[in-house]
Amino acid sequence: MASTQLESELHASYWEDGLLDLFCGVALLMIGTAWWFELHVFGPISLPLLVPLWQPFRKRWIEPRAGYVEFSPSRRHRWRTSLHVVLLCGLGTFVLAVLMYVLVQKNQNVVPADFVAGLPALLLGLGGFFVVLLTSQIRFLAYTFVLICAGITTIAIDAGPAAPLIVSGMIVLAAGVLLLTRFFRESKGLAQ
Amino acid sequence: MTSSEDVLHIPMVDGLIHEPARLRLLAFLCVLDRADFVFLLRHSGMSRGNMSVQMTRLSDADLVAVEKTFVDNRPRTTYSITKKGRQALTEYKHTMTAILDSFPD
Repeated sequence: MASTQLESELHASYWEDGLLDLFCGVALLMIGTAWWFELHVFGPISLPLLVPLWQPFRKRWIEPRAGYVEFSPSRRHRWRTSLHVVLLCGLGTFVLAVLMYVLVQKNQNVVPADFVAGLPALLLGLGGFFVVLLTSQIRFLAYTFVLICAGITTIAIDAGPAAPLIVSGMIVLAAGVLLLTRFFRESKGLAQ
Repeated sequence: MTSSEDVLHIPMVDGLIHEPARLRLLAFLCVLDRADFVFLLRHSGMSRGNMSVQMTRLSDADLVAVEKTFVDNRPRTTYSITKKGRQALTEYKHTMTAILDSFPD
């Protein structure tokens, strides 16, 4: 079944509650904190730690208020394909970041160290574009802008990579909390 | 002024589907695999009582299938459009298109 505007709008509404923003904010904070304490290896484990929590949190907090829905098989297939592409891009980005880090460690003349410091925020910011493609939530472009600005600022002032991630994470987390609060308030009469 | 022959060429609209609230609910269900009461309530903007009445009429006419289950000890009622419901909606779309096409610009 071809997608219709109604189906697209209903699918977009699935992501309006703010839970995804909350999770993204927590992930950024975890990665930033790991960089802050120079435990870089713990940054990437935020995703495998948070992904299994998504379904239980959604079921407990969101579904009683937003309701339960199963989208059409064609929509689910498109979503799965897009998600796989995004995950592959994410993995490729991570590999690129690690390669650049290794290059800088071996030879600082290859890539300026201050540029590498801003790279995590820039690359994670680009991830926001993919989230917009997946969820049709334009606000993730604003998060992308915040991360890219944070990354550029990091390069400009020669700061470490942790601060922009922590600051951006706090902004995204705060936005998620605000959206969730509004969602809970608007859903008072609907909750089962 | 139209002649009586012209009146005969206007197809009959399915009154069960034509009602705005029921049409809205069928429109949602025809683009989804299934949805529960709360999801439809949230998006339809209807009251609980009204939506319950409309869904009962649609399921009595076999246009919508109802499934009642328990999830984590909480009741969940989900709805999906039946094959008959899809056919009826397709016919309704053709009928309304024919009627609207017959309007002068």
